[in-house]
Amino acid sequence: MGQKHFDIELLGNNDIVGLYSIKEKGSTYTEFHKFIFEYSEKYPQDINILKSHLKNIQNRGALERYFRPESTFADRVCAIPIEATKLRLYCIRISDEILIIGNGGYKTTKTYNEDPLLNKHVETLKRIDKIIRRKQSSKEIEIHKTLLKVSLD
Amino acid sequence: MKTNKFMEELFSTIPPEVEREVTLSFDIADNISNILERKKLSQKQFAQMIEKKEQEISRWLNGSHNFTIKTLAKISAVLDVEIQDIICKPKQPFIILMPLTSNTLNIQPNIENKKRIKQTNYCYENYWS
Repeated sequence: MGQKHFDIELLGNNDIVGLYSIKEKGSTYTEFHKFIFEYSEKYPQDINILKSHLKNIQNRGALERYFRPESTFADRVCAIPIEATKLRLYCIRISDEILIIGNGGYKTTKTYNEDPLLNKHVETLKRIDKIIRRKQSSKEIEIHKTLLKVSLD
Repeated sequence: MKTNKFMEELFSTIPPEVEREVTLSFDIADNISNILERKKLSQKQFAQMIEKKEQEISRWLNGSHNFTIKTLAKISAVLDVEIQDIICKPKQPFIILMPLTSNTLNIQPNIENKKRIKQTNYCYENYWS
């Protein structure tokens, strides 16, 4: 089965940070939409904490210390580290000013890669981060403060 | 702020008590981080001073930790600051409009009489008290 293709979609930006998500080509919803639709009813309290965490990031920036690295030091994939919940939301932190929010799920295993669903979401973000890095090197990407313009093709 | 409708709706449905709780955790995290920076202390040094692992300090600074009174008191004692300095709204660099007049200071009225006051990490309340 071939790899899925994604676009990057702006969710909102201000002077401090630009929040983005990824959207599979042909899909109506971003991965972040899907995450919210999937877990809002199952874990309303946890989703409210995550929403509030994102709102604070929107007001303060996507500072490194607000995230937990999830993968290796070679990529910028991280999780929003909510202590009170096992619900994980994965992101790519490009800088203090640009955050790409992906998908996630409820963690029942010790590490994300033991869970097929979580592993899939993290691997997707790792692949996208790799593309973005490559395009940054070849200057095929526009980053201006909180604005990110890139084609993932 | 340019936000799409989805995000607007998402943020507008956060219960106020959850928003206040999470924002307070962020405020505390930012204040501790600012105090460490001001005192030129690394997270590692702070961890040693407070007898915690460095990972624990990282958790305190990520904006989702639920601090106990005991922990806040210990942080305040180790960093030699008031608890109020830890739980208040973090301070941003700010500009004070000085109460100057062209007569008293013999300056041109059109001179911008704003003076940037030193950047401080203390709360507004403490600054003025």
